[in-house]
Amino acid sequence: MIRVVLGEDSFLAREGITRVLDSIDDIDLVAACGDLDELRSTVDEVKPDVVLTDIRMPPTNTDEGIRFAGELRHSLPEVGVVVLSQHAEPGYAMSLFEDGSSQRAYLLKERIKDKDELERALREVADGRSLVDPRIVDKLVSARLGDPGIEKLTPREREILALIAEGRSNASIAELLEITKRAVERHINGIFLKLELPEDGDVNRRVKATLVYLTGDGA
Amino acid sequence: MSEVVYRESADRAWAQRLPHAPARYAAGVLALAGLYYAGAKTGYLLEFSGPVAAIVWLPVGVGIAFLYLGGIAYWPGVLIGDLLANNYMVLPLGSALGQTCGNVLEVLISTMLLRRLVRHGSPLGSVRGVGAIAVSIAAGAAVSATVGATSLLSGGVIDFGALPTVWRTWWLGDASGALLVVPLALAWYAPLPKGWTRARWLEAGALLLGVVGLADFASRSTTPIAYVVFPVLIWAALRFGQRGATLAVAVTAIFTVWNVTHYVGPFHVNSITRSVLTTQLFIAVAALTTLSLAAAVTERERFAMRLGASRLRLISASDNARRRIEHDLHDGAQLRLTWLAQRLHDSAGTAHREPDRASELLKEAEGELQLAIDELRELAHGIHPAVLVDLGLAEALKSLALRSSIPVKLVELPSSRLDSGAETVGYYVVAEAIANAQKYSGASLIQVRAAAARGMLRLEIADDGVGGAVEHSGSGLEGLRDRAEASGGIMELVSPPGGGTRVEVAIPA
Repeated sequence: MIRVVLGEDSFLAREGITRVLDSIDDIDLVAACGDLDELRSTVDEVKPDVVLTDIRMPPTNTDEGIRFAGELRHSLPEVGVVVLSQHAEPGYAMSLFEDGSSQRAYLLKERIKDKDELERALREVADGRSLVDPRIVDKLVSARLGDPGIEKLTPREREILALIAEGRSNASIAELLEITKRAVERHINGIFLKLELPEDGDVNRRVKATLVYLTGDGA
Repeated sequence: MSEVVYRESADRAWAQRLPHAPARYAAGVLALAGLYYAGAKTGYLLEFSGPVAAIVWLPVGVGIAFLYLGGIAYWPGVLIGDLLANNYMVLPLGSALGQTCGNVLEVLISTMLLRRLVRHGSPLGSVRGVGAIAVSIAAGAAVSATVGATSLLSGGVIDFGALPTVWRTWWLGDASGALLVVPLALAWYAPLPKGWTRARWLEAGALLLGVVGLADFASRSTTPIAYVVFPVLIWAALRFGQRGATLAVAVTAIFTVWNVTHYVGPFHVNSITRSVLTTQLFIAVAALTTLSLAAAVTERERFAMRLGASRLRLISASDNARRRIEHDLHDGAQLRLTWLAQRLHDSAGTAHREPDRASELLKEAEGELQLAIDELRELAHGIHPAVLVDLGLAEALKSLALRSSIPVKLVELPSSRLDSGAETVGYYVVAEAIANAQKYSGASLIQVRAAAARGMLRLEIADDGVGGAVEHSGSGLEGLRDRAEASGGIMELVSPPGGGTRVEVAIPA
């Protein structure tokens, strides 16, 4: 059972999310809060497995969700966070992953209509992994076409690079592309070699490394 | 106010074009020679009798003004005029020719220096320009005084002991003559403004009477009260700009010189050299002060006009932005949602008749809805990018780069957050420059540099496109300049045809 606390100030979105989560058997929405203070005290009290939160909410309506995720990293490190955002900006995801990407997910707000994606994000985070909305990664990859590193990759490798950046595990990539785990590992080695990234078995660190590469921060 | 408006490009083109028709050129040279000769003869009228250099040597001013406005190529006119004006009865031929050489050199040096120091607009239009006039004239006069005094010495006209006095008188005489004539010519050369009201004419008349009356009174009075002309000189400069100032100074100078050469007034003392010196200093000081004031007035008016215009542009820019948002909402999201509503309505009917087909329609509707969501997100981002406020300029520029249809290379980005005002201006400057490049440049790469150092945010946006960009009215580049200047910054545009376009902006951060 995954226990979830929701932070969302819009009534409409709260209703929508509640309806989606209610339809999933082993996900239990324990509380819904409308602003940062309420969310903070509720999470302190309830200690859920995952906090599902809008990026902006009162008091300042800017990036409360991301700042709260940063706080939790220190105060309650075992609590995962899924941030829902209307901004298709990789910068926000990077800032969410500032202190590490484990147990953190950045999802576009419109996913609340998409039960499978929302559920996957909550499960990945509850299992200690991370996730970046595929639409953002797609945008990053297509913007980087023409980059000398990306040009060296085969189409299959590009596909796998995007999946890595989304936070997929080797097993999940293998399943999705219907190839063996062994083949996935071989591809990943090839990608990291071509992009001159340090090889890393740790999935969470490798999400960040690929995102950094794709946003061009390392250049 | 009578600001002299120089249309820069037209003015320059005429000044630099070589006279193409020989007849026209000859006429120009002869006209200059005639004017120069007349100036010299007028100068002789305003002189003490005897072998003393002029108090105000007017022809040098005639020469500089003619060459500055008409073109350097007319210089032989100065040579001819000067040769005609020489008094060969009192001077040995060698000294006379030496003197003429000095005078021609003086005019050429002053003109070229002035052109070099003031590259845009009228030199009278700014205090800096008036300074440039003073420096150019002083340098030219020094050459003429040196060559002339040496020629007189070697011709045996003066002895060595008199050299310093002759040099000084010569230098001040040439300088004050040029300071009278050059600004007068520059100010009155441009076409006269039209549409003076009756009150304006009356004021001009009163001013002229005041100048004439006070200048005559002050330069005749036996008590040293020459300074009483200053209030009317200031009046002229404040209310009638460059034309008023130059005319008032000229009138004052004429009366002062006339009276002192007729042995009356505060400048007349027993020694002729001292009379000459005090008169020259008075004229030079009055001219420079009044011209500087008029220049400051012109400058202020020009800034006020530019400020007014840029305020109007800012208002219309914000109106245009609102109109564009309305248009985007109306033609984009609203249209999609309407279409969607119709789709859903159809699906309801279809669900009743053929349930299989209905699910297909609903799927399509969902896709359409996703497009509407994307459009709204982009629209919100365009109105104000949240990423700029939340994460700062560096992230916002990365997001701009992702959206550009031409590849954008971010060469340098600020490593920390800056003043939020500077970040906003910086963002829109880059956004506008990139949008401009996308529209017109045909470039294959845009390079962006943003660096903060020593309290300034420096931005550089360079593309490798067709170049040749100009800031015409209503262009994105003009809006860009408005943004930069409104925040106390500066903007520079480098866009040679075929050489790409580079926009550089520095704003306080």
